[in-house]
Amino acid sequence: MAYRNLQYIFIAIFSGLFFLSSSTVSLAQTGTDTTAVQDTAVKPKLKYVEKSGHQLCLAYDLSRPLISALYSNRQDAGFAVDYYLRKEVYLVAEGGFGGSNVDYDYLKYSTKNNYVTVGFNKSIFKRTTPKDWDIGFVGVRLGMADIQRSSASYVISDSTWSNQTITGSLPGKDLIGYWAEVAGGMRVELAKHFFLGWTIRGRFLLSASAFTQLAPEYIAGYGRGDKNSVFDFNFYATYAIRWNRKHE
Amino acid sequence: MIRRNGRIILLLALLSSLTWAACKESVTPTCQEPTTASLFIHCYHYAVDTSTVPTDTVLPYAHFVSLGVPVRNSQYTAGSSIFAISLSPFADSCKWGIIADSTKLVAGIELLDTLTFHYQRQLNFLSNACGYTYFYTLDTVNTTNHNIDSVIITNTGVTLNANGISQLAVYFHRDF
Repeated sequence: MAYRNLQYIFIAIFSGLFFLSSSTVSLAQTGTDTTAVQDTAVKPKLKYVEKSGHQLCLAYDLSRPLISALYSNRQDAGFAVDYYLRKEVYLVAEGGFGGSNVDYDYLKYSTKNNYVTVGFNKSIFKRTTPKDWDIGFVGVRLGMADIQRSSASYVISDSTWSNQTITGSLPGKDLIGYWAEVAGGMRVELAKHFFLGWTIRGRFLLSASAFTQLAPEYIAGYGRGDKNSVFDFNFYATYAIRWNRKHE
Repeated sequence: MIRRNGRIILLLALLSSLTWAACKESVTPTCQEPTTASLFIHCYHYAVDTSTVPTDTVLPYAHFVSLGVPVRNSQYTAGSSIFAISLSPFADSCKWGIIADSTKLVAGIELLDTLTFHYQRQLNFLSNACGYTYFYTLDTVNTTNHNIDSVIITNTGVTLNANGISQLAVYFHRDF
């Protein structure tokens, strides 16, 4: 029940972030046309000049080792790179690796996988100065995981018909998983070039049909492979590399 | 811009993430769903021999016996016209014995009808915690005729779907 309540809380946070984002965009776009009917002069269109410099961020997900410590049957490591494009848009690439060991009474196997996600973030906070790199953002991603599953052994029992059991095995298999993500979060520069930040995500599996034979219990980068949608939380430590932008 | 309150926000976020991780399934999940596919039998009879409309037939004290090794009994103490049984995952056929009214058993004589099921088995993945089970596709069902007149397969698929769809219609003699 507590787990379900937390999910609802994060859904509410997501909704708030998206509302803020859409409000920011709509405020920037709405305006009252006060041009007088008789004023037919065409005003020159101002060229947008990006005042902030370049920034490339390298991030490490601090939450993964913590969660791996809580779940002894899972291992996970994640990294992220983002680059400031312009107009508060950041290109993002994330990646990592991990695996799981499944050891239930009726099913045993192991998996390991690499993953990568690409997408972009849009900052929804206004800068106070061009050197203000603190952001609150919303973003989208597309993710892919390359999964290697070991051979799986299973046991079926039915005491109505026999006191014995049926045992069987499935051969190992390589799988590809795809998903879409929506993300939101914050990043704050606590010391020059060093940030801490968090991200909450909703992920939606696009390749559920590939897992009908045996859904991997855990896919690093996505979550539980037998769920078509999952929520997740990351906590990043980030280092920024900056250089000036050449203005024409 | 947000640095002034950023440390507080980050601390709250870190605490939230720790709470989130702790509230997640912190113990090995256990299987919480049914793992045995059920075949639903619906019992009918014709009120008169010339009738073409079957009537739901409540078996007052039904007794079902799975004729495997070992033999298992399921005795019902209340009337019902719909019963759920399972098929054997160990073979492609199995037998069930049905006594419509166990209170009418005469010493030494059991009016036991035997249903023989022939089917195909399909291995089906349930979940990581529950593993696998078999679903079935019915081929034929044969019956003896002590109290049972005939049987008809109404749905060949036997799965975990228990939404009231019966797979077998059993027609009893009018005066069973």
